[in-house]
Parts: sequence; C-alpha cells; structure tokens
Amino acid sequence: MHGPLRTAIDDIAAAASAFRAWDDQGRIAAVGTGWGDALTDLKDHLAEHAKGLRLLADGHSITDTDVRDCFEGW
Amino acid sequence: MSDVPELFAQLLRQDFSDLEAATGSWQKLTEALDDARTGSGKRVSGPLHKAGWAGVAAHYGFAALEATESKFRTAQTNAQLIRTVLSTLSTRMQAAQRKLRHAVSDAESAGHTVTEDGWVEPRQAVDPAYHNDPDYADAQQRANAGLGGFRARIDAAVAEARRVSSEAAELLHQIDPFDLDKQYGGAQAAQDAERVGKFAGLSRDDIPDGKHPQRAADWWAGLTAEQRAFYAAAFPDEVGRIDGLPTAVRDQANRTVLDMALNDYSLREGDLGYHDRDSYRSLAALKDRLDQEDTAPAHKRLYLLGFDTSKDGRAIVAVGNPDTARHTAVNVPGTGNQLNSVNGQINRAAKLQRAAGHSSDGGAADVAVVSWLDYNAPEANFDSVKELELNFGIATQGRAQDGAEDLRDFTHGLRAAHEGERSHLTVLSHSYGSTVVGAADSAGGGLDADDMVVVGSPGMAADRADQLHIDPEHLYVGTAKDDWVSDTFGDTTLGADPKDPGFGAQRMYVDTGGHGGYWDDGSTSLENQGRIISGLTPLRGGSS
Repeated sequence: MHGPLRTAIDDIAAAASAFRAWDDQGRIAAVGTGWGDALTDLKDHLAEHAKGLRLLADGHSITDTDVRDCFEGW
Repeated sequence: MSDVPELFAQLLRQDFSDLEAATGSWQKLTEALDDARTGSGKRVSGPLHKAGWAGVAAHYGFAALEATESKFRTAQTNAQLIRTVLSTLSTRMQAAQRKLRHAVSDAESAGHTVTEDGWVEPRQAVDPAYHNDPDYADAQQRANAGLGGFRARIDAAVAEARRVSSEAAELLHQIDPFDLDKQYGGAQAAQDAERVGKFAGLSRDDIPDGKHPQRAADWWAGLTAEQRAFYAAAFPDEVGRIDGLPTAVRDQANRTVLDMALNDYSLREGDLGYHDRDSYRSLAALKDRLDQEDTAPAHKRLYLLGFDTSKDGRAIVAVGNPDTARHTAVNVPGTGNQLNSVNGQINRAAKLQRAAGHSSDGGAADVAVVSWLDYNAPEANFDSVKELELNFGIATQGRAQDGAEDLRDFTHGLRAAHEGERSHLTVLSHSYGSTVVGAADSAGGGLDADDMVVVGSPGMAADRADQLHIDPEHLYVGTAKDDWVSDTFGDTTLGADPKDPGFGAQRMYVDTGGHGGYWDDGSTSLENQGRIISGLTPLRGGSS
C-alpha cells in the first residue's frame, strides 16, 4: 500500500498547486496532508499487529501484556 | 466586464493534467485499501478464526484486527469519495473551459476583440468620422447585436468554474480524516456519500428498486467502473439488497452494512433492549462465520446476499458464487428459523454442496448453494409432538404468501446476474419453506427453476403440481415414513399433500427418519438431493 499512498499524496499536492487560483483555502492540498497522515498511521498499525502476532507465533515465552501492548490504542 | 476578470485568463489556459493524474492515483489508492483489507481477512484474521485462537491475547488481537479492517473499509469509502469529487471537478471544469473557449472564438469570429481580462470590445463597424450620420447608430447597433450574448457566455463559463471549484473544495473539506474511527467512520462516510453523489450527479434515486431483477442487472452493466465503485461505496445498503446485481458486489456492500450495524450496536451496548441484544449477538456470530471462511477455497467462500434484524431476523448466504456456478441451488428452510440459526443453515447449504459435488463432473467447484431465509418463518418447535408449540403462523399460508414475491425476485435475480451459459437451478425446501416455495412458484412468473425438491412438506399452497410453474416431472417430493409433520398437516390449510400420487409430483426416495433427518450424513436422502442439484435424477432405492 505504501506505493499507491505515496503517489496519491504527491499527485494531489501537484493538483493543489495547479488549482491554487480556484481553491484559495487550500482544501485540495489539505486532502493530501490530512488523509495522507491518517492513512499512513493506519498502514503503520498493520506493522504493529504483525509484530504482535509474530510474538505469539514464534513460541517465545511472552506475557499477555506484551501482546496487548502491540494492539494498544484501538 | 467579467465578474472575476482574473479567473478568465486562468480558466482559458487551465491545465487539467495534474488533476487527472490525482484522480487516477486516488482510484488506485482505493483499490490498494481494498486489497489491504481483504488481505488482512484472508491472511490474518481469517486463519486465526479458523484455527480457533482463544484467550486474553486473542480477545485483544481480534478486537484490534476488526477495528483495523473496519477502518480500512471506511478509508476505502472515503478515498472513493475523494476520487469522485476530483473526477467530477475535472469534468465540469473542463466543460466550463470549453464553453469559455467557444464563446471567445465566436466573439472573435464576429469581429470583436476579447481582452486579456475577458472583456468583449464593441466592434467598430463604421468610421467614427461619420458619427453624425443618421445611419451611424443603426449600423453600429447591427454590428454589435451579439455583443451582450458573448459577454454573458464568458461570464457564465467563469462563474460555473468558480461554483464547481468552490463546491468541490467544500466537499473535500467535509470528508474529514478524523472520521477514520471504528465506531463513527462508516456512518459518517455514508453521509458524505450523499453529498458527493449530489455533486457528481449520482443519486440514491438512480438505483433500481429491486422489483425487476433484469432491469437492475442491465442498469449495473451500463455503468462505468467508476460509477459502480461510487454507488457501492456510497449506498451499500441499497446495492446489497438488489436482486440482479453481481453476487460479489452485493456481498461486499452487505458486509459494509453489517460492519456499520455492529459498530452501532457496540456504541449503544449498555442501552440495548432484549431484541437488539439478540440481534447484536446474531450479527456478531454471522460476521465471525463469514470471517472464518475468508480463507476457504473459492467454491466454499461465503457470500452475504442480504440480512435484516427486524422481527426474528433474516439472512441470505451463498456457499460458492452462484454467478459462476454451473449448478445453483436455493434452499428455503422452514419453521423456527431466524437470524440466530443462520449458522446451522449455512452448514446445511455446505452439506448440500458437497453432496452435489459427488454427482457433478466438476465436483463441488461447479456448485453454489444459497441458504435463503428472507421470509418471516413461523415460530414452532417440531422436535416431537409432545414439545409442539403451535402458533397461528404455521397453520395459515399468510407468511408463505408474504414471502413469495421476494423469493421470485431472488431466483430471477440469480438468473439475471449469472455469467455465461444459463445455469441449472434447483429450489429445495423443507417444511413450511415448501409452502413458501409453492406460493412463489404458483404466481407471477414462477421461480424459473429447472428442478425442485420439497422434503417434509405440509403443503405447497396448491392442490396439484400442474398449478405450479415447475414441470411436474421435475418436482420431487421426499417424505420420511415417520415424518409426522407431513402426515399431520398435509391436506389441511397449507395445500394438498404433495406426496399424494394425486398431486402429480415425483417421489424422491428417502432413507432417513423424522422431520429433520433429510440431511443425515451418508444417507440416500442427502445423496438424492445432491443428484438433483447436479441435474441428475434421484436414486430409486439405496445408494448405487
């Protein structure tokens, strides 16, 4: 997902620049920053989930607290 | 003078390639979000559900995974809406640009000069030295007859571009990334969708009402890929319920609605009444079952074709995709079935699919079986005569007649949505479900089924098989020797006894007992239903 997200953020920034005369409040540019940040966070949370599941799968001695910490914030 | 002189030059020369690139990349992002969500289901939550992962870690893990997958669904909807706004902005601005350029070109062709700020100069048709000539004014007036029109067209084009860009900017501002929250996001996205739809000229009112499945199928086929993506994202509650639309589309739409319903119950968990608590549990169990089968082979995947929590609740779930199956069966259950028993009905559908697979050249991969509980089944307990609790629903045809049209629309919808050669369709039913089937097949255009199986039937709302649309040679009636429901209720208020030779149907050999044994593993009863589903005739005695 990283590639399509990066491209979408870059392309909307370029569109915002080309349309500056029509969008004096920068709403188009704000889509790239606001949604870009939110979707990047969402993507990064997947990595945390994977870490939590790896803890469970690799058979190390772990506590439920360790696993719970990987899913914190939800 | 144009209202906004500075925008005249901007619109005249505006380059839309960046906007079109952004439209394309947000469409790709929508697809990537969908892949991430379904991938999480197939590779993470699905296998964990199937493996029976339990415990404290599982509790937190599943809750987090459900939240993530729900957020991806919301994100996908919002990305689709953003894409639609950008696309509509580009289309309408380019239309305004064309109008502007045509107006300028027409003005110049008429001999006028259009200045840098969009002002159309009057044409000097006569030498000003002759301004005292009595014909001067008339000649000037004739030469500039179109002047006002050109100025108005230029102003209108610029105003349109300004209006469209302002609307688009406001809509983008309202699609708020802070709505990317598990419990609120889906509902908020649906509200944003109505507004974006209005901007893009795509309305909920465009969606067919579902009463004419072929028309619905034709409508969907006539949409562009972008329009389909928008309608599915914006109006999942409508798209999910329309007979005639593709199964996969309805499934995704219904899963979105299921997600939103579960989030809504979760928000109100402390205040739920008895009915809502039961619905919440039932829907959560349904979602778990759907998630478990996300990793199943393609022909065993589940497709949610509808659900409802009103009264006792309803659900329509397919095992395998009827749009591509060579043999499709629709199984209509009888009394006592409701939303909280749908898991059992899914198991029965899976069993019928396996049985049909044994008889079909392509195996179970050729077969899809739909569990159709989309009528208000009467509440009755038929475990034994002693435990029988009657209610008025079982004694009359009312609920069967009420459900008949929906069943007809459903089977006609399967026909309309099917890809390629016409599939072989079998409608099976048990107990009061057979009364529904009879009521449906005796009116309107019938069910358009190739074969029909009724087991444990108390009556099919008909006196004779030839009153139904199904060819009597293809109507199979199976009744166990000790099925007291068939014996007690046949020839009473629910129609003639279909096992009676005078009814005109074919008898299907059964070797099981009681009212509920027709799907016993290893039985000829089950084998015969499988044979009929795969287009063969049933065995007349024990297995060959």
